[in-house]
Amino acid sequence: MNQTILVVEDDVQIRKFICYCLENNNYQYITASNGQDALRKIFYENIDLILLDLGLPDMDGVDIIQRLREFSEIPIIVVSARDKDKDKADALELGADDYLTKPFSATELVARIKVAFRHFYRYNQVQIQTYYKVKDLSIDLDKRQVYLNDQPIHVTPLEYQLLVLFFKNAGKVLTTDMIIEEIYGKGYGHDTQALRALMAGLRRKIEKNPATPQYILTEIGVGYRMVDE
Amino acid sequence: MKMKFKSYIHSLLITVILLVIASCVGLFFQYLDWSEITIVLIYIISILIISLLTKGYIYGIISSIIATFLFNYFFTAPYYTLLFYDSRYFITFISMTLTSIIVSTLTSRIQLSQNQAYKNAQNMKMLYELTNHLSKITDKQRLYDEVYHILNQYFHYPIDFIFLDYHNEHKHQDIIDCFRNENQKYIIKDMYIFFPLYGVSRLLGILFFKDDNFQHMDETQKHIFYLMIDNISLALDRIYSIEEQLKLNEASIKEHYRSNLLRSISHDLRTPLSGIMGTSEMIMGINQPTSSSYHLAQDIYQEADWLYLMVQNILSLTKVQEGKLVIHKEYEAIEEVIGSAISHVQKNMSERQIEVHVPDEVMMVAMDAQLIQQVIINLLDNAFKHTSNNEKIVINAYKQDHQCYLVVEDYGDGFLGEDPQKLFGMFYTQHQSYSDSFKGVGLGLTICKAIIEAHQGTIEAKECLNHQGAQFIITLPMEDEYESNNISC
Repeated sequence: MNQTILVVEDDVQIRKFICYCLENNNYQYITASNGQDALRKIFYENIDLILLDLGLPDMDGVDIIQRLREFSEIPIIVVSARDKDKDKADALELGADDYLTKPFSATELVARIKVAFRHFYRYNQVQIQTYYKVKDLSIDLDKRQVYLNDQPIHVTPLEYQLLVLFFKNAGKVLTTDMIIEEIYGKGYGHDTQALRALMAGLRRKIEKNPATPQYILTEIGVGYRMVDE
Repeated sequence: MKMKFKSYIHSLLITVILLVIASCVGLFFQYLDWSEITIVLIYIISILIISLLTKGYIYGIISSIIATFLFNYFFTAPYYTLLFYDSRYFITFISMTLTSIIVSTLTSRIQLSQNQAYKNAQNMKMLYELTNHLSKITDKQRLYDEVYHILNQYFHYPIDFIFLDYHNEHKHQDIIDCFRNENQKYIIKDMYIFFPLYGVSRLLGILFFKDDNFQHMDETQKHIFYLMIDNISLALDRIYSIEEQLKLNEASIKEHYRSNLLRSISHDLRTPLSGIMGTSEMIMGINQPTSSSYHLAQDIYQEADWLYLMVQNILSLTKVQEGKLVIHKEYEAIEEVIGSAISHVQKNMSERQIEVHVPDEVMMVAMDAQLIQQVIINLLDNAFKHTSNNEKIVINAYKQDHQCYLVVEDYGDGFLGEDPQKLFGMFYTQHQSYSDSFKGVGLGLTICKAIIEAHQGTIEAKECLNHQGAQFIITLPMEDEYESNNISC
């Protein structure tokens, strides 16, 4: 069964390009050129994923995310030409699964869609996963052990917590605020410095070169993303 | 002086007339053969009236004594002399004098406190009016006029003052400096006395008039005057803060328009670019890499990609060149910014080898990460364009003398004897050798310089020391208290 993707985009050329892309990768698609149209189709059509442009002529894409998240968990990938990091972080914190900044390539788009689907199905699985592996890095939740090239490595409790969070959300962008809330708890505020230091320490343990990471990538101004296989 | 003299004469006349009247009435009573006590009472009544009609204690006391003598002269035997036969009269005289003095002082005191109360009420009314007036004023010129009017009306001599703002700071500079440095109540200089008008946070103005005028003020007037100064300062402070509020509002509206403009520019340019790049990529995907269609599409893609970089650069430039705008700095790990920049450029140039060296100790630097990332992207892009594919590029980051050093080196030809510093001039490119085959990079480097300078850092270009190639050295200030070892996990 092919998944159906709703493409919400007001620019005709981009819409064409995205649709062509989807067609090539055997996805079905429905298009909407404005917010109202999109909301209507979300209600009446059977949709598996939404590609959403934030700058729509009639409403802000962020509002669509907010309204959609009140009743549905379907994956949303934001496609935006906005430069401001805050917009991206806002969209992610409201419940978008991922974002793509224009201009983006077809391969990037398809990769992100795949990640979103994979994550969505994994998230909805009944059985609890206790072992994750990305490239040469793996984590065993039962043994509370992290392995690099099958060799156990030592990480601090905070680093372990951070890794678990990333493994569970592999491929997804996590905003700094989301991570801080998860690791340090609510009410810790917006002190990114401790997180950056924690991340730097972790990278020195798992990456060959912390400046060219292979596992956890930095999304400047937004947050971090762990690569997905 | 004249006024005072007049009031002396006036009081004296009243005293004399009343005493004469009392004596006449007394003589009349004597003629009727009434008791001497009645005559004493008549005198006391006259003294009471004198005290009421004159100012101060002195007339009452003097007339008390005179009245006693008059009584003695006219009404005690032997008449018309100051002698008396009956020694009991002595008691009468003393008690009469004492009674009159007490009556006159009591009356005078009542009068004085009445006067005082009236004066106080006047002062209160004046202060109230001043506060009331000042609280309604919202601009400086009207405040000036109003204060000038009220002060001169109340004190009857010319009082002048200046409010400090950018135009008149140089006037009375020495006095202003004096007030700024130490919180003095007033300064006397060149026959003038100067009073400061302090606001909550700073000196707002000064007020001055002739020194001898101040010396003539009585204590109450001085007190009132200080209260007035406080009132004026308060009003001035309020006006200044209103002005500042207005300025801030204006700035935030401007900022709002500017960011809206930037947002729409970036949106309007990026969306079509995205279409061009995406479509050309698709064309590349459906053609063999050897076919001419593939190469044409690749050219389109690369041109569009370059345009995209320029859009990013121009956006960064508008951000930095907005002069007054303070860039939003946060503490970032430098390795993350480098890593992110590399992954950006490697999207399209994955075949290029980039070597990165960062220290084991994490370096946290205050910066706008997006702008610094743009700088690194520009430098890498520049290096790619001036070297061939098999030459590697090296990025070094290290800390030295409280500075974060960021060095980007390539293994190309270097600057070929050109002055490297010229590269940072507006839109400078090395015309001779590259203009045909490569896009100008002058804009990119100019923007790098603008961004780095906005971070209070430096950027310079040099020939590499150990090998042939160009070297770009960036320094960014690092603060001591945020040294990475303090925040290690």
